[in-house]
Amino acid sequence: MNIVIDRLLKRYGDQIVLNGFSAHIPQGKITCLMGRSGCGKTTLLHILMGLVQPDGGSIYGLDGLRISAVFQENRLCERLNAVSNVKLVCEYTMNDGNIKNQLENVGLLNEDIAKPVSQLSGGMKRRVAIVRAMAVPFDLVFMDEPFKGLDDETRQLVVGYLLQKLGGKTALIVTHDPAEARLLGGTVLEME
Amino acid sequence: MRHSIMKNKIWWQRALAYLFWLAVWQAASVAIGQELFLVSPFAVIKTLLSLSKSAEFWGAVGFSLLRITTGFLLAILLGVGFAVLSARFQWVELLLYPLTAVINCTPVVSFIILALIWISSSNLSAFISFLMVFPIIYQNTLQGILHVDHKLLEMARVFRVGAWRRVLYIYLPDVMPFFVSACSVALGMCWKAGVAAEVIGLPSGSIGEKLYQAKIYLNTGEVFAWTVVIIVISILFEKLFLTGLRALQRNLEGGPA
Repeated sequence: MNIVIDRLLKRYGDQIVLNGFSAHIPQGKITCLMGRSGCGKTTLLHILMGLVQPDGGSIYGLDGLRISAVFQENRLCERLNAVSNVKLVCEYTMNDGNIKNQLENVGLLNEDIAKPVSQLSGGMKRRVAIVRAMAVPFDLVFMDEPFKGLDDETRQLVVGYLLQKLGGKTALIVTHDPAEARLLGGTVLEME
Repeated sequence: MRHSIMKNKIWWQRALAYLFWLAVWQAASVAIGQELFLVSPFAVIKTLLSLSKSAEFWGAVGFSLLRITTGFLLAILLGVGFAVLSARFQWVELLLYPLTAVINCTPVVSFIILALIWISSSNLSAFISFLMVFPIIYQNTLQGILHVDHKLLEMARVFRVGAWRRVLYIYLPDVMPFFVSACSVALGMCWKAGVAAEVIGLPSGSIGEKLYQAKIYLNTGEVFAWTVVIIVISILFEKLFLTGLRALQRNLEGGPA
């Protein structure tokens, strides 16, 4: 079932962030959400994740879907290492060995995996957040600029990893870069 | 390595500072020449050794230790419990605010005298140590809970992380520094207030009673010796408790099993 966003309205004080935004997000496909900074992309994602309440409008097709996310900030537990951060969200679905494999698949080295994430670079943290999002069972994933802080080579590697993991699942990915949308093969949804 | 050398240096410097003040004490005692006014450190050690040979001494230590520890642990239990409730329900925080404010501002002796009217003197030190520790633990733990990273909690919600794991890996690491520092302050305070309560309430067989009797009989050596006992127990209790807490903190940093 497609996700239907119908005339969504959100304001913070006097500032209107979403003014009757409507869209269809096709099931089992990658949709790349694009638009200028501050046009409400992150707010839309937060509303769809259930973290922010809209002031008006409706959303259909989310009921019963298991969601996952890569947030705009990594939202990792800084004291824990990469494996523990992933394990925190997938209690029963993956063991340490599987998690390490996944982290290695996105180019993280064994020695980095053992460190508290506070000691990792921005790009490494981003990859831990991406692996975490892919580690839980999900039907729909929201990603807010998932390739932020990654160099071209690592981005290619991570895109390959994501395409393999996303096969047949619904993904809504915020990006500013049309090249990323092309790499992901996603349908572009423009926000004004 | 460098850190370890620095630590050793600081340890020796501190030991020397203690020795310096012991020497000053000894010199002052010799200069005054009257043990009734200022007993020498050696005389205190001698009195302490002589006291420690009696069953009565260990009975008094056990009596005060049991009651003050009970008051402290009860305050931790209720302080943390009410902090959790206050973080969840604002009306609990509002309701408790005047109570903790009054406890913080009231002199401990007023509570001791009032408590003597309400409860038996044998349980007085437990009640007073509870009363002194509760606001510290409650307020600090509440601050810790309110400082927990809101964005991590949202992440946990999206990923459907269970309540127990949220507590262990999101709440506790942020709350623990507040809780440990509160315990560190409260541990010293509960002994000071608890023994003060015993000195005023004079429960039979307590350290406070022994201290008072030593004062009545102008036995300055015993007054000092019992004071040393209180300091030693207080420090040992603090070290033991904080070591346990820090081990728990390190354990949490290991992540989910």
